[in-house]
This record gives sequence, C-alpha cells and structure tokens, in this order.
Amino acid sequence: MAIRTQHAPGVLVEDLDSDVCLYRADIDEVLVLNATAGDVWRLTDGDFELDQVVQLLAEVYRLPTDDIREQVRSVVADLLDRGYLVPATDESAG
Amino acid sequence: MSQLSLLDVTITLTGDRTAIADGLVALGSFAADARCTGSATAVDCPVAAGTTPGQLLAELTRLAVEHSPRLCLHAGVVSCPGGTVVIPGSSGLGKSTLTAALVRAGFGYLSDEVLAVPRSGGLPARFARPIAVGPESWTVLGLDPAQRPADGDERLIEPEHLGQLGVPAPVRHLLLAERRPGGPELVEHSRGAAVPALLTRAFNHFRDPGGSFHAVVTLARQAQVWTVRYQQAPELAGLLAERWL
Repeated sequence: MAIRTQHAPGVLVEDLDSDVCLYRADIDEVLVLNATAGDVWRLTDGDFELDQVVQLLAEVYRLPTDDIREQVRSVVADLLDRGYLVPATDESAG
Repeated sequence: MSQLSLLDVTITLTGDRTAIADGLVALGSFAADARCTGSATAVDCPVAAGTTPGQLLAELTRLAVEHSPRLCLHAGVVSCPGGTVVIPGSSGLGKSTLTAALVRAGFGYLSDEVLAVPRSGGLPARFARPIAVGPESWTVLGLDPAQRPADGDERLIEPEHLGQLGVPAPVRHLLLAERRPGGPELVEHSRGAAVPALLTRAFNHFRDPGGSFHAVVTLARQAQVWTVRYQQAPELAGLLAERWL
C-alpha cells in the first residue's frame, strides 16, 4: 500500500550536529532524531511515497532496500503515532 | 519599603518588617547585591510574621523565575576559565550539593538553582543565592561538624563561605548528571541529548515555547555536552577541577 506523509503543522525543527531536534509545542515534547532517522524525517514531507523513501536511502547508504525497509517503516510509524508526521494531503505533493 | 531586583524583576517586600529585616540579613550578599530597582517587571512579595529566611528565599526565587523575561531553567551553574558550566536537574538529585562541591573545588559560583539566559541569546545571569545544605550534604562537603544542621533541617550557607563568586560567561559545558556507585566518570555526549534535558527543566518556557526551544538549541550548540556519573559530589568536583581549572 502506498503511504505518503508530511510534517505535522506546528512542529519546530532544528538541526544540531548530525541530530535533528523536533519540538511539539502543543504537548511540550522534544524528540531528538539521530542522523539516520533525521534523513527519514527530511524525506517524508510530502514529496515521496514510503517505498521511494526506502529506495532513496538505500542508494545513499549503499544498502539493499530489503535491509532498511523495516527500519524506515518503523521510524515513519513512530513519527506518525507521535504526531510529528501526518498523512499527506494532495496539496503537499511536490 | 524593601525592593530587590532579581533576574530583571523588581520584587517589593511587603508585610512583617521584622521578618523582612531578618530575612534580608540572613540572605547576605545575595540580597545586598539585589538592592536596586528599575526592572520593567514589578511584583509584590507579601512576607508574614514568622517567615524563615529559607522560606523567603524560596518565595523570592519562585517570583523571580515566574516573572523574569529571561528563559529560566532548573540548574546548578558555575564558572571556569573557559566559560560557564551548567548542570540541569530537578530538585532532590543532589544538584545543590554538586554545585557547592564545585565551588569548594575552585569553580566560581553563579547559582545552585537557576540558569537564566536572555531568550534572544546572551550571557547567563548570576543568581548567587545562599545554598541550603542538609546534614548529609554538610558531611559530604566536609563543612565544620560543629555547625552541622540537625537531621531533617537545613542551613543556608553564603556562597562566599564555600569559595568565590563567578563571572557570567558563555555556556561551554552542559553536564547531564547521574548518581551511581563507583568513581566519577566524564563521557562526552551528543549535543542533541541536552535539548530535552534543558527544556524539561524550564520554569517559564510556556510564555514562548517556540522561542524557548530555539534558545535551548542555541545553548546546546555552543557547548560541549557530557554525561557525568558519580557517587560523591566532591570526587566529581575534583575530576572536573583537574580538567577545566
């Protein structure tokens, strides 16, 4: 099934070295993503389907897509569950 | 009428004159250094008869951090030649004892309770209140046994009795402290780890959550972040003094 997400409105973002810091002011929560999860975050703002994200990251990290698919899915599922990502609207497609 | 200027807040003490006078004497240089006015924000601090100096100090601190235009975070703060050292932490984790041990080891005292920085960036304020020390910490710090407070009690110590006051400087070290058995350890950590550690200890970030988040990231960006593990505060203070003094 095709899944496309975008960054939830109102989430504040700061790059800090290789980490990405996210802040949801509505629940006063900070989430710090490591470099790999940060790459997933950057690619999930409406432009790509989840399978495309997996493919792009596999190319960047020079790994088979099967090796990273579950990790990427897990990061996206967690970010969706915690409200940092939301399902993409049609307007967000780039 | 007595007025104190703390963290850019003018606090007017009203009520029982004796309790106010006794409290200000007991708060020593902290109160004497704050005897000026002119801050944009002004609040009253009613003082009832029988208020102890410790209670007055707690109320002054509460009012200052609640009304300060600065971003105020719960932390011990000391200075060293390279800049300012910050130990974020909640009450009861030994933060004041560690701060006192660092001052006894030669660091400059800035605060045992509050890191207060301008939201748009700048130097932390000195909030050098007396440190409340209980009997266990009194012994750990090696203070005069004859003056040791009774069990369940605390004694306010003026910082000058522990060491020297610090000069505010840019934040250079953020210490994420953990108590655990064994000798002291200092391990460098990613800066990202400091962001939730700082923001969850903020007293007044609710006024501007987004701006506070950016301010905390800016603090982390300019500092080295360390996990420190220790059992006894003076041992860790000695290790840090060897490294940074």
